[in-house]
Amino acid sequence: MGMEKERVQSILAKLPEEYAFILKEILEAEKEILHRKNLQGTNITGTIVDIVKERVK
Amino acid sequence: MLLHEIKLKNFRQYYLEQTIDFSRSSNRNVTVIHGENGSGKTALLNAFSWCFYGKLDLPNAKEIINEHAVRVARPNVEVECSVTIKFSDHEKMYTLRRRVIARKGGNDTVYYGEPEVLLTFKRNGNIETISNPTDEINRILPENLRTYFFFDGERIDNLSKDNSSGEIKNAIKSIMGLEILERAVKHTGDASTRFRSELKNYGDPKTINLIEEIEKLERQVGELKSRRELLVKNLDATKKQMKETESKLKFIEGSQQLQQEKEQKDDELAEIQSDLKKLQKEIMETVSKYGYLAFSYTAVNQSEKIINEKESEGFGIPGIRSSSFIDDLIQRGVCICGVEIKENSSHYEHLLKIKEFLPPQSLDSAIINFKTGIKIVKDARQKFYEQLKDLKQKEIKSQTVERRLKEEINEIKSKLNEKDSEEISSLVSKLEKLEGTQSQIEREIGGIDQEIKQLTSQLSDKEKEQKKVSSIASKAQMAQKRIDACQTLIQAMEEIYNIRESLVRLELQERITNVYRQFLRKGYEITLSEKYELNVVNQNNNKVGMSQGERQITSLSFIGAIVDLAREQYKKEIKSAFEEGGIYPLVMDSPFGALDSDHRERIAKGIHKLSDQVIVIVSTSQWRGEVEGQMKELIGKEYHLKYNDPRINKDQPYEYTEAIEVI
Repeated sequence: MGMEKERVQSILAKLPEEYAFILKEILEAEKEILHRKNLQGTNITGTIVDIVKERVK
Repeated sequence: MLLHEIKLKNFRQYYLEQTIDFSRSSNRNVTVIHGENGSGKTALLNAFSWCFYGKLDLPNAKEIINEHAVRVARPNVEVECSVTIKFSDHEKMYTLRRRVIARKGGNDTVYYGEPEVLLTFKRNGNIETISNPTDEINRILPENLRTYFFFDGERIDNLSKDNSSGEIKNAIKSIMGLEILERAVKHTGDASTRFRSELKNYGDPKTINLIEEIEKLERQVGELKSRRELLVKNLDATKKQMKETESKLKFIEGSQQLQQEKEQKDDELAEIQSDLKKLQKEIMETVSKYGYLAFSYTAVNQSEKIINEKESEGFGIPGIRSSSFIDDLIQRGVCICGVEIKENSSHYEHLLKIKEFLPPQSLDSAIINFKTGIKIVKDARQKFYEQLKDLKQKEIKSQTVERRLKEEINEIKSKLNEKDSEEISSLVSKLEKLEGTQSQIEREIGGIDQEIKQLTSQLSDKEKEQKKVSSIASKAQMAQKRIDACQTLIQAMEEIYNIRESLVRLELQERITNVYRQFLRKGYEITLSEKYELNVVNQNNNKVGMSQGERQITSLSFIGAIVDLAREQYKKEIKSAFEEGGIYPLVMDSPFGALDSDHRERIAKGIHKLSDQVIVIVSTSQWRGEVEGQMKELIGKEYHLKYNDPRINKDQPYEYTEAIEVI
C-alpha cells in the first residue's frame, strides 16, 4: 500500500515536464467544475484544448 | 459538509415551524434527538432525504403536509409545507429549501402543487441561486449513499445482499476523488478528438482518410460503451428484481422451505463456481509457466542416450572420468597399486593409452553438469505432471459438484413449479424469465467487450499509421504534437487511476476491518470484493448468515469507514491533485434498535470518532442507560421530540410534534 505514492511519482516522472504541467492544470480545471466554484456552465473540453495549446507550441 | 440546522414547516406531524440546530463542535460533535415511539423520529430522518433528494420512505408518502394545517386552512388560502436545511461545504454556506404548496378547494378538496426546490449560497455577502441544484447536491452528498448517510437502523439491510454495488462503487469514487481523474480522462480524450479535427483541415488526402477512419472507429467504440453502460444498469435492475422475487417466495407458505433450500444451493453454487474459476486460472498459469517441460522428453532422452553410449564406448574404466587423473599418476611416478611408473615402461605406455580415451577435465565437468541439468529437468517435469494431475483432479471434482448443484437447483425449481398455487407458479415463472434476461444481458455484455477490444486494437493500429504519414504541413504537425500530448496524458491518468482505485479499496477494506472489530463482539471478518460487495466470514472463512443486529453493525461499520476515510483524505496536509475526500455527517435513526446492551455500548463508545458530526435520533428507552452513559460527555446539542396526544390535551385536540431543546 505504501508504494502507491512512488508508483504515481514514477508515472509522473516519465512524463515530459510540460506534460506534467498540463496534467496538473487539467485536474485543477476538473476540480473547479466539480465544486462549481464559478457556478457557470463551462466548456471543460474547450478549457483542456486551451491548456494543451498553451503548453504545446 | 456539515449540517447547521433543519427547519420543518408543516412537514408531516411537525405543525407550524420547528427548528433544530446541530452541534458543529469538535469535541462535542454529537447532536442527540430523542422521543417516544410515534413522536416523529423517522419523519425527521425522512425530512433530510426529502429536502436533499425529494425521496420519502414513509407510509402515505403523498400526505406530506401536516393534516391539522390543511384542516384549519381556509378555502383558497395556500398552506406551505417545507424543509429547509442550512449546511456548509468547502467553506461555502448553502441553504436548501424544498417546499410544496397545497390549496383547499370549496368542497374541502385539497389541491397539491408540484414540489419546488431552491438552493442558494452566500458569496461576498450576496445570496446567489444555483440553477442546477440536483447536480450540486449530488456532488456534495451523492444520492446513492443517502440510505447510509441518513441511516435508518430499523430498515437497513445487509449491504452484502444489496445488488446496488455498482451504484455504491460510483458514489465511493465520487467521495474519494476518483471521479476527477475519470472525468479528466474522458475530457482529455474529447480534446484529442478536437485536435484531430484540426488535423483534418491541414493534412493530405491520406491523412484525412485515416482520420476519418479513426473517427468512425471512435464513434463505434463510444456507441458500444454507452450500450454497455445501459446493459450493466439493466443487469443490476434484473438482479434486484430476482432478489425481490426470491424474497417473496421465501415468505409464501408452501414455497418457503424449497426457496430457502434453493438459496442455500445457489450460494454453494456461486462458491464452487468461484473456486472453479480460480482453479482454471491456476491451471493456465502452471501450463504457461512449466508447459515447455512436457516437450523436453525427446531431447532429454536423446542426449542422455548419447552420453551413456560415449561413456561405455570409450571411457573404459568406470570411476576414472578425467585425463587429469592419469597426468597426476605419471607426475607422482607411482600408481595407486604401488607400482613405480617410469617413462617408456609398459605401465607408462598403458596409462598413456587409457588417457587417449578420457576427456579433458573441462569436458568432464561439462558432462557432469549436463547430467545434473538433465536430472533437474526430469524432476521438474515429474513435478509439473503431478501438479497438473492434482489440479485437474480438483477441477473434475469441482465440476462434478457444480453439475450436481445445478441438477439439484433444477429439481427444486421443478418442485416449486409443481406447487398447486397460482402465486408460487407465477413467481417461479417470473424468476425463470428474469434468469433468461440475466443470461441474455450477460452474453450481450461479453460480446460487446470482445467487440470493443477488437475495435480498440484497430484504432491503435490506425493511429500508429496516421503518425507515420510524413508529408504533413507544419500546422498539421502541431496538431499531431497536441494529439500525442493528449494521448500520453490519458495513458498516464488511466495508470494513476488504476493505482488510486485499488488503493482506495485497500484502505477502505482496512478501515472497515478496524471499525468492525471495534464494534462487533464476535470474531467475524469483513471483506470488500472488487465489485465493492461486503462479505462477512467466520473463523473458518465461511460466509455467515447474520442477525438483524449484526447486519446493522455491518452497515454502520461500512458507512462509518467511508466517512472516516473521506475525512482523513480531506484533512491531509499535503495531498495530490487527485486526493479529494470530504467531511460528511452521520445521521442515524434508531441505530441501537436491534442491538443488545454490550453492542449498544460498543457503538456508542466508538461512533463519534468516525465523523466530525454525528446526529443520533433515538427512542427515549434506547437512549437511557449505556448509550447515554457513553455519549453524555460528547453531546453538543440535545433535543426532545414532544408529541401532543389529542386524547390528553383537550385544548389542542390534534396530533403534532414539537422539537424542544434540552438545556
